[in-house]
Amino acid sequence: MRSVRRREDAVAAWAPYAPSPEQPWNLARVAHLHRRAGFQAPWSVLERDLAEGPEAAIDRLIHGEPTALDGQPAAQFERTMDLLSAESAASGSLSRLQSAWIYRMILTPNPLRERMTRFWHGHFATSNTKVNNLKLIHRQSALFRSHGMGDFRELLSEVGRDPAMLIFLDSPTNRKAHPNENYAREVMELFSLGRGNYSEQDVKEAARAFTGRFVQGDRFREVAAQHDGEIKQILGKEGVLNGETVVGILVDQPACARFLAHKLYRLFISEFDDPDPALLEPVASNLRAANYRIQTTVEMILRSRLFHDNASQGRKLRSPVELAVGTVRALEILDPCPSPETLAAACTRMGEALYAPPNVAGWPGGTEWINTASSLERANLLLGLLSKSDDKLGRRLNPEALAKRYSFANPGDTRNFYTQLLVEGPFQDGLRSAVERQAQPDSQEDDRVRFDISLILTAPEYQLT
Amino acid sequence: MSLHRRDFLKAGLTGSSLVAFGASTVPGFLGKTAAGASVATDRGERVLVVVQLLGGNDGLNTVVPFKDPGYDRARKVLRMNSGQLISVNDELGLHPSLGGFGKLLESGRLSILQGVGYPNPDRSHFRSMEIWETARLDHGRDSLDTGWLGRTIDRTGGEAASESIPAMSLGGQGLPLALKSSRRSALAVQGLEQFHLRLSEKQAARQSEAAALQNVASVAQPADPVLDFVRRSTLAAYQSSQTLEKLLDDKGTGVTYPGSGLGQRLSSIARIIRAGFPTPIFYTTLDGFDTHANQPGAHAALLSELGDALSAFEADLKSSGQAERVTTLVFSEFGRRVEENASSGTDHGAAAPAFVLGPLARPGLVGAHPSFDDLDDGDLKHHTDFRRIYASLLSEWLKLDASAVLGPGFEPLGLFA
Repeated sequence: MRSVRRREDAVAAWAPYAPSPEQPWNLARVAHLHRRAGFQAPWSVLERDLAEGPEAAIDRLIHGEPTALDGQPAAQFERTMDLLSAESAASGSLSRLQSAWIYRMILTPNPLRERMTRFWHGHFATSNTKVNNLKLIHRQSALFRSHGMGDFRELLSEVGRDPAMLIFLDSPTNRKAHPNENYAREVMELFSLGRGNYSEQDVKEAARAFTGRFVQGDRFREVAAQHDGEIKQILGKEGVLNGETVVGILVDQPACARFLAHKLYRLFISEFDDPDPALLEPVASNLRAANYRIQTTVEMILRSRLFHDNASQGRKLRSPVELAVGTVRALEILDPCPSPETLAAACTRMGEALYAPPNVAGWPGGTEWINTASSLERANLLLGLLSKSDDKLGRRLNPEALAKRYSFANPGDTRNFYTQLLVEGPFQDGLRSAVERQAQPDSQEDDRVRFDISLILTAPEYQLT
Repeated sequence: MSLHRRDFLKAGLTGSSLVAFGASTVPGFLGKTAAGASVATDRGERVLVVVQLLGGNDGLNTVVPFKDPGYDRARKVLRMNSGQLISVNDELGLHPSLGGFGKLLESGRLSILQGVGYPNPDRSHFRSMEIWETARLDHGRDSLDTGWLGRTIDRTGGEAASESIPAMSLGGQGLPLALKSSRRSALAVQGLEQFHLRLSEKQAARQSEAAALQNVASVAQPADPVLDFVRRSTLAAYQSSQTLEKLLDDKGTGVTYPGSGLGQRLSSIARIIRAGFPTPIFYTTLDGFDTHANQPGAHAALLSELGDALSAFEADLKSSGQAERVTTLVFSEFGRRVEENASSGTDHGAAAPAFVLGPLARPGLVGAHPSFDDLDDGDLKHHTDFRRIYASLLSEWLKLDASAVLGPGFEPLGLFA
């Protein structure tokens, strides 16, 4: 457990970061910010944000870049992507819908928005394997994109009326005479409070409050005849409670802010330590004070000393999507980009099948991403991007040209360039010398650079973020 | 304020998330591969192979009760006549496409377990497969978290065994639920060919590339438990791919497998066993048994694929001296409705036969054919819970505590000495 001796220490951890001689605003911090808040970024973005300072860099993550990586104006890009996803959903092909999202993430001018969309997708995990209706899945994803930085109370309320979620958690069988507890349980356990903060009786009563919520013609319908309009008692509140009033009761529980604070800590700070509740308290207070406006709390976290502390680097494992999308963005393999279908399929094999989370608890993340088979898949995906023969992933990157464009021309320079571009601060030096020792003197320059990059990307250090 | 890396590390060693991952050992052949080939064979560790027939196999037309008037009444179009069948005894015969099973039966290498199922049978493929694969009938919150073989591998292996792949699935979509575990991870591969590291096509370059990748992955950075975990897994992946790649050079024992998918998967499994891999559990599937319409041709083709592939597998294992340490279970999520339907097919049913192959103490028929006079909503009733077969495989064959995996009360069937 990460210990915090005094309340003031916890408050200090979340106080705004200001560059100092010990914790300077350097390239490692800029790269860390992008990896955690969105995805890895191209070198030009890192350089710009290094020059302009943390405030401007974070502002741009919150509000978005003016243009997508393909040069389209942001608003136009988002509209095009909305259309592309809708069409992919209409096609009925899961892999097309997955690739539409992968493509959007690669070029997005709003990496943080996509990060939050994916976070809520895991939080309110709904799988097309059961829903079996891509239009509904697509609509739910759009909800996460539009509300992901907004009011959590509203998001929770919308999710309770979302057709994909209703089908996923059996609401259509939740009738007055035979309540089905599935949604009522998960809304407490996984969506708002966490285990230990409600009783079995609360679940039963809440299930009654949620009765009569059906899906008809792909739309949410409240069927009064199937709704239990009697008195219920949930978490100490009594009355003629319905689904909407339950949302209010849940969000008003002190446990709700703490639960979300912990999830945001895992999202932005570390997956590998169990934070002291005292350390999370300022985050929970911020959520309550902001009336659960997620953006306020996300900003607080991204601007905090803890976020930018050296010790927060390398405390997460790259998820398959982060690995695939981030690498493509950092190496600027954009025109054309690797086949999104192939990338999406690789993500599925590595354990992150978009729109098909393993269960209602979402992806456990952290070390769960890594096993023998997924390690091999990871290496093969990365080697594919560097390949000179693979039609789907390779044959697009010119690594020498990329380094030259940023004025890293001679052999030692290119190695420095790619190490700084790709690897976590604390591991850069060790990894660079390891790569240096493997140098293959006889090979041509292009092959040599590719080989260096392949060694960096497949290194265990690159899996951390 | 303790925000330094060493505090994180200290925290990591005691923090719950790290304790959890510390316990989940990394699969792989790390450090074992070189010795593996000779040692494991000498040790003669026992191997369990599971072949799952997807879709619900028509048990009545697999082990046919041709003498029973109930069979005649129910099957008009689909009836198999006694003359076509491969004789088991005076009342039962195997489908004519199961010549492979006939040979195994003759040589005492096959048990036909009749009337297998579970209480309150579920006719949904999905649910029934879940029940078979998890060996749990309840809807408890954790009921789908692990499969029966996943729980088995979780309970095996101390420190030493942690470095081998405890179970492997070949073909199919991802890891089967049966192999889902919480502590050690099974490996799911499409085929041996697919599980290899993408290096250059040039053989000479491959060697040095592989070595370089391995060198870089072996570099010890300042101690970081998570990085160490990733490092072990990465090295295990490289090592496994190299070892599996070497199997592709194995020219075989001269036994010819049918060209079918199942034949190829079993041939791969035989190669892995022969090479002395310390993996005790293999899993593969054969799909297509959901024969609602035009059953005869499709079913015959599937059964010949099954019988031919498994008899080749047995012959292959025998010729490489492995047959006495390998046993195979064949099952399907349910049998089919007794009464045929109007489309020359059959609908979802309940009890059906399962099969066990290998060095058996109880070859031949095990249990009576379920009665046609005592049906459950038009389906045959089971008399043998499938978990008793699992209990035999776990306690009699793998010498493990079956109740730890299945819960109490499942008496083994005495299939193995």
